[in-house]
Amino acid sequence: MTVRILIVDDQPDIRKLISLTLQHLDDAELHEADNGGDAWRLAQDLKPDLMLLDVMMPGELDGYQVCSKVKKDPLLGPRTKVILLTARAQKEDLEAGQRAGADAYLTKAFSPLKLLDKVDEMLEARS
Amino acid sequence: MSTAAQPNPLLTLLDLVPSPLLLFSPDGRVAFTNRTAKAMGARPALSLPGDPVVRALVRDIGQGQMAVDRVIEVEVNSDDGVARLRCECAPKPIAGLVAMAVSLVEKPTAAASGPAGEPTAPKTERLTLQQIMELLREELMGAMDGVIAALPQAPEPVLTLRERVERLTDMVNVFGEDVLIGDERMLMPEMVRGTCAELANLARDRAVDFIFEGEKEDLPPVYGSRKLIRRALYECLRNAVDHTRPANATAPRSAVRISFLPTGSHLMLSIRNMGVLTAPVLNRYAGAIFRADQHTEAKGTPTSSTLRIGLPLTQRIMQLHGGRLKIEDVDDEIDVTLELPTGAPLKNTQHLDMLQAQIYAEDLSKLLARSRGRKNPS
Repeated sequence: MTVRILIVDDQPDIRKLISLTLQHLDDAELHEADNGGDAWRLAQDLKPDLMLLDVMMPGELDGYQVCSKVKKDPLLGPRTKVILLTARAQKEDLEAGQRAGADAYLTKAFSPLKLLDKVDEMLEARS
Repeated sequence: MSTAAQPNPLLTLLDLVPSPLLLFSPDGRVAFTNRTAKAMGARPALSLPGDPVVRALVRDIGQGQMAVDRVIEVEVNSDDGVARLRCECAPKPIAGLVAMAVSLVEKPTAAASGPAGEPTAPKTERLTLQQIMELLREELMGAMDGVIAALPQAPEPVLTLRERVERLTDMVNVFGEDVLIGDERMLMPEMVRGTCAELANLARDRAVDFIFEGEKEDLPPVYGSRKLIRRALYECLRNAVDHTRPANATAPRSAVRISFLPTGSHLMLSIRNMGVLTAPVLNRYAGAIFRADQHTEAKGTPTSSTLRIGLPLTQRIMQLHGGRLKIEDVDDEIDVTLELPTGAPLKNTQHLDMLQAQIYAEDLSKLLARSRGRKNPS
């Protein structure tokens, strides 16, 4: 069964690295967005199984807000897992992620192996 | 059988780097000095941790804040006299440590001989205004906090003095050369309510109510320095409470109305009060502040110290955050609007990208092996 994954980061290099890593997943359909507003619109259209969401993005919606909107949405909330990506992993950042309803947290700079493990874990939990 | 401790390969590598390098722990102590730095006459490992600007820079980067200017120059006493050092910090901590490259800008001024060949007294290290203010703040705050803690209820003048010292330090910091703006995430309603709580006693004494409008859960966040934004809010709200008046002569109370308006790329925060000064007077006065013309004062411009420092301070803080401050006369009220860009600042993460690329390169073979495993599960 195909899984839809939405990768959201304002840095194209990071999106590319994540896409390259996740290409190794079987039956994964990868989509990208470079800001919170587009991510939220795409999420509503695509109804992804998993979102990899950068926390700090310029614009009207940052990662926490997109996560919060997704998790509060009656259609998306139950089906979409969210992994937050951030360069900061202090206690208050983790707490903000929890408040927004994130399922997991990955600290930049991350290993591709760790990323794959986390993605596997999220997709398994979903099924 | 005992084995010799293996040297850390990263530190061995840094030791071979031909430029002087230091690694600081976030509390400002030097955790590692490479061989070249150890050989420098200016002895950076000894002199830099004592410099308040260096300490502040290391502390901010160590806490994950973003420094606008990561390159600073400091003067230090060296073996040969006063030397000027250029210090450049990596933008983010690496393995919890802050890396700093050091270079000599000016050769040490040798303890020069006097005209008659007699040695002159060694030069005293010069301090910048920011360094002096930081030292002053450290000196005074400790003493005042001691007084506040020792008394069951802190006397108002001590609290006022404490606030004034904080304000002066903030002012010197925001107008100084090495301004540090963090990337802390702030929800403005929460920040404003916190500042209003600080002013609750004053507002109660003056029979002023804070009225909130347009507060929504999903208002966009603002990124920057929590301390400086709190300072800007405090200045605006304090000024509004100080200068408001009841809507009419019979009204028992007066109000400061605070409203939030998101416009996509910006968040507008409006603080409105029935001012004792009309907006045109206030604007004329604001102009005088920026001209710093002493003759204007003699002609009778208002000289409230609150406005004198508070307005340019708030203006500068807004500027540093990419925002602006507007003062308007709207329907016989003074409307102070803070316009702040929403969302995180553009990232300057070259070093992080390098680190990310390095980690990927290291794990690439394992990743490929795993992907082959996935494709051939048997």
